[in-house]
Amino acid sequence: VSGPVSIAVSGGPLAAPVLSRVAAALAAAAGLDLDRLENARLVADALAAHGPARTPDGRVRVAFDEGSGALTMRVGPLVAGGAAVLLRECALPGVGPVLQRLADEVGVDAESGTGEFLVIRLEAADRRRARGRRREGARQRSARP
Amino acid sequence: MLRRPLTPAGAGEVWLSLPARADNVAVVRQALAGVATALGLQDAQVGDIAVAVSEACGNVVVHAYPDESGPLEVEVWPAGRRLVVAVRDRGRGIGPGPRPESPGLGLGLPLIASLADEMCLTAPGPGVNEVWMTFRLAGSGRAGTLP
Repeated sequence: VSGPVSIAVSGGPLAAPVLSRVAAALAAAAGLDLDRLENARLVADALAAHGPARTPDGRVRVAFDEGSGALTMRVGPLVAGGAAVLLRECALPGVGPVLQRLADEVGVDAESGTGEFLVIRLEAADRRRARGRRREGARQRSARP
Repeated sequence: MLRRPLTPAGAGEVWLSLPARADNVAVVRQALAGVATALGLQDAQVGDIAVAVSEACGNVVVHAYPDESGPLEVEVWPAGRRLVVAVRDRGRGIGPGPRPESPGLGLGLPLIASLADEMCLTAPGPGVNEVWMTFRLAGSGRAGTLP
């Protein structure tokens, strides 16, 4: 394997249909269930809508890494501060921060030296459940006197 | 001689780089389906484009990297009322003519040539091989409205 799948799409009418289909295909390849696949598609739609304005050249670049049971999207390089603005712009009234609601992990990587990146990770349902159980166990242990 | 509708490599509307594996050809087809949706292309034309581009990608998967892994690059951009698709590798590439060692039937390039309106094999840079093809857009009225 010579690296992850990378895509660059210019802002405009091609961005959403192309990004969301590629995200869905890679989510399926990663073994995500249908609900999570739809979430990957929605994340890609949001990135296509708001991403181009937060990149230096109006092109959204996403590097997809599909491991077993998880799909990671590394979005960027973004302009300085672009990740925070992008997260804010993807909020919806009554829903809140869409990307954080849809994904299991959302983070900002500004340390790579090549610009700022938004990192979004979606996991399959069984991995999410296992993570939830671990979290609950840790919470109960820390609550014991 | 055919002249490639100009766009610097990497500056097309859509650019994809994937490990040259057979399963990734399906990802390229999904990206093309997205382009077709946005342009409102007719089903028959979408089928022709998908088959031609899949053949070009398949050639990269089978022939470009015999002893190693390497990237498959696909770039798509509209040029007037045409859609241009370039498929690239950074390995051995594939040229016309007999390839006795090839596991294929040798029908891929003729098939691409018959489905595309134009097709050309080029080497746009050192170590880079490219098949580019153009398709006249015959869509539902939205076709060709992109810059």
